[in-house]
Amino acid sequence: MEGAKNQRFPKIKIREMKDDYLKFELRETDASMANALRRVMLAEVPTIAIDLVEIEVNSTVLNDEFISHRLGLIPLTSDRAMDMRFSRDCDACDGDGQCEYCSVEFHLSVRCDQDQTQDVTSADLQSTDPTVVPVDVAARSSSSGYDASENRGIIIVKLRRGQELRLRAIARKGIGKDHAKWSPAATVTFMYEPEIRINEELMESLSLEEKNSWIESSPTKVFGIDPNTHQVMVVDAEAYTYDEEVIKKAEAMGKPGLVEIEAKEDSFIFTVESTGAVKASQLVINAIDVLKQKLDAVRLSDDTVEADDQFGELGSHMRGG
Amino acid sequence: MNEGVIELVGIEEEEDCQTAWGVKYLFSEEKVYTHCELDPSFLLGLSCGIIPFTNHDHARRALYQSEKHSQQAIGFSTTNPKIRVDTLSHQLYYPQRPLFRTVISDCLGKPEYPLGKNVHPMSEIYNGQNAIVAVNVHQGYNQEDSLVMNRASLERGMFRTEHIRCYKAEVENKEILETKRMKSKDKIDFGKMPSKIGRVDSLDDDGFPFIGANLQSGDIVIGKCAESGADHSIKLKHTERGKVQKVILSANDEGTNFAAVSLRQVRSPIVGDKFSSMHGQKGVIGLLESQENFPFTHQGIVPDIVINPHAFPTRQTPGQLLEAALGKGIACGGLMRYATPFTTPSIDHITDQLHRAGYSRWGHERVYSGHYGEMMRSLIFIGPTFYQRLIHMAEDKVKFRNTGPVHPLTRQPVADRKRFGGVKFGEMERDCLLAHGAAANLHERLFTLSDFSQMHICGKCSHISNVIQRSVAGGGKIRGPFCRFCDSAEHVVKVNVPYGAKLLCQELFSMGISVKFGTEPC
Ligand SMILES: [Zn+2]
Ligand SMILES: [Zn+2]
Repeated sequence: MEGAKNQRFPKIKIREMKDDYLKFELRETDASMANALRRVMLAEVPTIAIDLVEIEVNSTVLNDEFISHRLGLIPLTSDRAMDMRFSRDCDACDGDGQCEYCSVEFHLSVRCDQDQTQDVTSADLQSTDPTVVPVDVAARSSSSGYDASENRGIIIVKLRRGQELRLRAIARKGIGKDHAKWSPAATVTFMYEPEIRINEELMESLSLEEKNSWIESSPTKVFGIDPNTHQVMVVDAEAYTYDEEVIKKAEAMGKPGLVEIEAKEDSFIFTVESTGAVKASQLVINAIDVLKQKLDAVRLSDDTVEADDQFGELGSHMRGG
Repeated sequence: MNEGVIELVGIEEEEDCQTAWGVKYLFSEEKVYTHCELDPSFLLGLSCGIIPFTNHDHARRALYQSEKHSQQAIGFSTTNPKIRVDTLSHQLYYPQRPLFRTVISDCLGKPEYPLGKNVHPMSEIYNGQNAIVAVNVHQGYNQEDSLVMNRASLERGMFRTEHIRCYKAEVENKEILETKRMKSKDKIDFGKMPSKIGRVDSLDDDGFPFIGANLQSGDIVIGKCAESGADHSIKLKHTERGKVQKVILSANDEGTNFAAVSLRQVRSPIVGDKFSSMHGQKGVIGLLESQENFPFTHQGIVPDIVINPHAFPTRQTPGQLLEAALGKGIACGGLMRYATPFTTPSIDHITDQLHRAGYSRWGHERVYSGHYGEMMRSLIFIGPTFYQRLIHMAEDKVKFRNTGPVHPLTRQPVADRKRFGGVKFGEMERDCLLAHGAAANLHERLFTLSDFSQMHICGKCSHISNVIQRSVAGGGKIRGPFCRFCDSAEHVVKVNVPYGAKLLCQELFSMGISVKFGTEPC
């Protein structure tokens, strides 16, 4: 088919992987693909977050809405989220959002009986489902390279003597588009891989001093100088932020064209940082799944079949030839 | 101060002082000085002295900030936030200290603050938050001083505020009543009773709502009734609602008991809310945009606010750009943190600090379009700027009605928002419709939908004929328009007239002036 000719097979190469951090290369695709992935990671990968709070007793300094808002923002381990149901289309509870298929219940009951200020933290939240707990609690129990003494949990509110907080909270599945608390990503960004070509001939016409000042003009360490041959070379191409400082400097020195920098149209370097709700690597995998589901929805929708008559070939391409 | 080195000078005293700007003027010049300013920026006073780079701003903009916006910005009550009962108060959820410092702001802090020698408290003198601000055009949603805000930032708690309104009611104290022996007056007391004027569902038996009750417009806040059964309850106006924060019972100096019920409302910024930087650059939200649609830098930084570049050339506030550039350097660990007016760091210092932090010297960065993922052609200036939320909010100003209360005298719609009034369609607006030639629309707006009324005219003598009761020859009585000048009801016609015009005729008539109306059928 016609579509197959332009079909490409994007490649991913992982550079660095930690629980909450992932750096990878995405090659042989274009900006639309890379950006779709970024947007889905930010706004459409589902997680679990506290959505409904029933307050029984609250004699703290913060009001009910304040505490509810803070509770909502606590990231919960959401490995289950992909298989969970949205409570709005849950059959088991008629969209009530209270059943085990679409919600997780939390309880919190703290009272301060001492003279010192007492912190109410995410560790005080009692979950009914051991797989859905605040991320810092999960990290503490796994205890892999994690310093528990340093981390006191996410503070919800502080209590003085006699103050009390008792509540029931229901966590539900959701996506970042509905509310930022459901966004699993702290940072998702990418950059185009730069291609840097130094005009050696022109470069040699510079004195060592000029070379140094030219190198220094870049705020990031992109270029370096060989101590023996005094040759300027690219130390770290990816440190270049496309700020064009070096190009402007070259022009100011009267040497335009000293360096040529181009962005490769088809390779991207992604940086993904997770809130801890899902692992950074799982976040990318989930994002690809969500993206696939969205494409399936387009492919299978009745609109596409109708549009087939109008657009002919385009429709058949979308359905995979 | 005990040694007499520092003197506190009053406003009247100041007139007779010859004050030097700084120590160097004190000794170098011929003039004889009586005093010397501790720092040149002290001559500006508090609210102006905490503006960073004021000396780079146009004087009018500095005045805007120090006189107007600093008053309207929402911060946090420093004294007794839990027990105070102001009629209306606003509190910011998460107030912040700005990144920069000035000599004046340092003088207000306590040096022995536990966080260390160089960290100063007193964030309460600042009423705002540090927002990442990009100077860019955002799809036309930030034209004319409007700004685009990041919805994700707001959902994470940025610029979230609570608004507390207090309702007070007094009752006469029992003892006082006895001494005064006012028997004629009914004894009024708090209490719950079924009311005709509003819902009492959330009230307890004592007449006060329970803490946490959600009151809507039209509900009764404080139930108050007389022994005779007369209702004196206080009702919420149609624009007011909220949850009950606290109920206070107390007595004032004259011994009258009073109760105060405060209602709380939590608001996140919405389209139409007003914000301002510290440089008199005010604007309202034009769009709340999702995080993924904003341009992002290679580090993944997304702005909280996008303002329009057109805000700068005519306003002459380069101070804001300097603040953002300096703030960016500070946020990246730069050590140069002062932005005191008159002793501000030079441009070179700021740009060098940014360069060391790994940013381009002038604070602009390459950004990628959030919609398409492509690099934007131009570099975008982006940096942390201190922004204030001002008390002018869209929710307090929305005005709408189709039909509603009218003024009893003119029968025209009322103007008051609290009474569900309308927006005035004034002369300028009338001129506008005239210019468009939209006569039918104008007629509808100013007559049919305003003070439509009808009256009777005698077609023969052109006088107004009133509706009267008269006896007819047959012996019966009929009620109807009748011309007393012609002594007949034959030629009487009905015309459509604005009530205002009818009122004028009646008033003239009462002064003995009769107005004649020419009529023709249409
Ligand atoms: Zn369910
Ligand atoms: Zn007549």
